[in-house]
Amino acid sequence: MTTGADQISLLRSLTELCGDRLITDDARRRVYEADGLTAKKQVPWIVVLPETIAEVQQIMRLCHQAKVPVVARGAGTGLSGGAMPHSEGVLLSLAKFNRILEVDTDNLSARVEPGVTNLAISDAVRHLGLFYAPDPSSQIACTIGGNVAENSGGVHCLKYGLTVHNVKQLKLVSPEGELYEVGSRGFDSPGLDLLALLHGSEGMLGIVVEVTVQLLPIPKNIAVVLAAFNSVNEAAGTVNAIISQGILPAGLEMMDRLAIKAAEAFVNVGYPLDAEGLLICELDGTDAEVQHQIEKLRLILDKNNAIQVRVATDAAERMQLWLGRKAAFPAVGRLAPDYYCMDGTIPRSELAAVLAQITKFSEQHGLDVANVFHAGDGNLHPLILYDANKAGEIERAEAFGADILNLCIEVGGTITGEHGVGVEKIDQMCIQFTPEELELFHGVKSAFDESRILNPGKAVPTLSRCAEFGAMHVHTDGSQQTHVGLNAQKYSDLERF
Amino acid sequence: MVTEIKALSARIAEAYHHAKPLQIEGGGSKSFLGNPVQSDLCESIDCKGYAGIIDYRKDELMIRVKAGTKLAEVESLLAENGQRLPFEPPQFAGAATIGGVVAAGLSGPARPYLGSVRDYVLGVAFIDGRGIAYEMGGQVMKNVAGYDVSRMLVGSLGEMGLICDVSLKVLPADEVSATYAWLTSSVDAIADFQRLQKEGLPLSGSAWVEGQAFIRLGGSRLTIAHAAGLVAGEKLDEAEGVQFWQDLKNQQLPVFEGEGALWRVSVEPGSDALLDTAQVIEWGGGVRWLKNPAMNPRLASDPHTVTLFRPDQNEIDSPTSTPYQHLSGAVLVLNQNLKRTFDPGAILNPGRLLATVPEY
Ligand SMILES: Cc1cc2nc3c(=O)[nH]c(=O)nc-3n(C[C@H](O)[C@H](O)[C@H](O)COP(=O)(O)OP(=O)(O)OC[C@H]3O[C@@H](n4cnc5c(N)ncnc54)[C@H](O)[C@@H]3O)c2cc1C
Repeated sequence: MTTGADQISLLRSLTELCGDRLITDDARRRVYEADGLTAKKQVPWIVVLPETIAEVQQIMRLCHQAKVPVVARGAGTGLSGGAMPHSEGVLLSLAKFNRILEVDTDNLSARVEPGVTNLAISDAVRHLGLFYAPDPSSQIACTIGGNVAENSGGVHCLKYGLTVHNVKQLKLVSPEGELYEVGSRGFDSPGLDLLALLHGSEGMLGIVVEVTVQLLPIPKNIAVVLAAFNSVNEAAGTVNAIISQGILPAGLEMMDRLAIKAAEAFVNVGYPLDAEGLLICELDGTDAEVQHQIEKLRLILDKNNAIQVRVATDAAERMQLWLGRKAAFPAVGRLAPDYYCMDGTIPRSELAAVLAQITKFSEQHGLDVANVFHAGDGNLHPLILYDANKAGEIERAEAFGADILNLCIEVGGTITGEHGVGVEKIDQMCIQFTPEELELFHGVKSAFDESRILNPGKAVPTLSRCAEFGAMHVHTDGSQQTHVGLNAQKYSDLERF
Repeated sequence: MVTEIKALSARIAEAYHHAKPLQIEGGGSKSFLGNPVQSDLCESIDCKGYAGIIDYRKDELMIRVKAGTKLAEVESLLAENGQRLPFEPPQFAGAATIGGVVAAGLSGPARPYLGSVRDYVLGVAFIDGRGIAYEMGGQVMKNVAGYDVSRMLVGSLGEMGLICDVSLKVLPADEVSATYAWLTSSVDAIADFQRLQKEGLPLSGSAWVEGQAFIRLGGSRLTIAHAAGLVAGEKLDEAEGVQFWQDLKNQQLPVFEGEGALWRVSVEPGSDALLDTAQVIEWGGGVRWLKNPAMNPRLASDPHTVTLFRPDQNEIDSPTSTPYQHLSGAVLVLNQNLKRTFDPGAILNPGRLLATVPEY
């Protein structure tokens, strides 16, 4: 954005294009000020709600010309501030792109607009015996465009994969307004695998305007097994035992005492209140297969000292067992005025140790934490409870969160398994990646968005920001290192505080 | 940094400074693939010496392997532990390495049901065209920090970097697998494959070869026993079944033999394109192989992905067509921009995937 005159001219063009689907008044702009990470707010300059791909192209052309930032937004359920607006930019809402364009029952695929909610896809094909597998807990609200941008997961991703494993083709609009396609409805596509690269790119590389997803047949039979344990340790150990014995559950979730208590108080589904750890394991397949797996699982649970085991095979009972898990975030939300949801992923074998350390952090920072997470994938979701109105609590929550993320990196994991970096974890990127790696990410960004108008300032920190943060990543040169490491020479003159 | 990686980095950095192109070599099993690299202009570089298992965590379903490790070695280690690479990469006639498997990005018979190489790549350590080493992704199952560069490297045929090591997700091996065969037309075979998939059968392979349909079921004993009741066709004896899928993925069936070009056409599985000329159909209908077709399949009207997989040996010096179809518009620009980012001197396998020469 250069001058006020440019701004006025852009505003005029956008008004011509979008009419009353352009929002400039304060009250309605404020609706978009944050995504699910409500601690980070920013009122956008304006909001546009295009209805056609041609409009999106035209908006991008105009903004590109005027060098005005554009932030795409689906449902705004993101938890890392990815859709947090830019104060001088256009917030581009895809909310009006909410149609399912085509369902192909022979090739098991559906072509949908990006603003369609995740659950709407499965709802639309259920009567055909099909479903769309990735199922984030936010699935009633979050959009498929947002899912692609975050490479979202869900409880069923252990068996069926993440968004990137279940999308065949994307249509995108480039920052310059050009429409293009990546992936294919077959299996090959020429050139580099841009489809993979675009998943999880957090609205930094292009605007997704159409998504073709893979559908799967609904399994013949499903069982949900609930197992309670006297210690978090035993529950965590059981997760490893299940997977190492060749069972691949459709989902394998874990909750700790605080999460169990909160969920039970909220939805009352009969979770054992005396348990320290709870596992919810979903098995699916043919009738015989599911029976066989239940038996195998029971043996493992017994051996690992489960104090209570419940098996649900009929739909109502299964729903009941899942309800507590699915409602866990809002349930925990009732325990304190605010909560801060973390998303690190670690090797499963580190679960027990990491959970123990998180408890220690909780004592150090004087804030409670509830754990409810995708245990089978090693994807943690510690929910840090705090009160934003109490002086210093936000800062303590953030410091607690940072400790958890650093711990995840330390044990060989990552700072984010499915929620993305956004603005929230941008400093931790400096720890997880070397300066060269960050520079390569900036190179990828430039390859797609030379003028850097898409979601500027998110996902990948600048090197100067890392220097300021004081956590430039440095690989050691020890002989035990399996790391490939970096050529640190280029930065050897940089001070590392 | 590991000594070998340091040496490889230095080699590439030097080549970059002297603008000397490098040809990356693995086991050589897929040397026919892609555009010919002008090898007389190139020195070759390989990581065959950088071989071995870095980390195998059976309980985590994860293996991290140096790029020069033989595919066969990895597969047998996994088999000993009741696990496997679900994407079943082909080995062809040579001694495929893991680096080559990832760089070529080719998957085997289970691809439509269990996913492709890139679906199982968790992380890649590599050196770019300036000699800078990186670690992208990691060893955990879910990771969205930074752009997913490791998955993009899959199938990049060495143009984006020298792959040093790879972390892969592995799965438990099937308790049993069973192969069924019946005589049928290609149209009916594809309809059968789609019906069986929709019925939720545990398919792990489907193919049609010159008038005969084949499917493979994989899973627990119980599942297969149940599923078998739903399949028409004759059950092959176990060794024969195993051999068939091996030969199919390694292109050692008689139909692949002899002279002439071999084309690979990727379509939506139910498409009726080229059904009368394809000799082999795989992946539920999604891939069609044409040996020596009368007409260049690129001239077919539908927008398929067509690859000249193996050029005619007699025309190797003047191939009638380029291996990969032309990119255009934004996609072409993005491919070129990314190449420039990862390999600014265009010294790594120049043109093997992203040829700059125009088609014909
Ligand atoms: C209660 C709760 C539970 C959750 N559970 C899960 C879970 O189980 N698993 C999980 O993975 N996530 C979960 N999330 C996080 C969130 O729902 C996902 O990240 C989701 O994919 C975001 O979708 P959205 O439509 O709300 O996107 P937004 O929040 O609007 O946007 C997210 C990012 O995507 C970009 N974007 C959106 N649409 C487009 C587009 N069309 N083109 C380009 N970029 C675009 C935005 O710029 C932003 O960077 C949860 C969130 C909440 C609040």
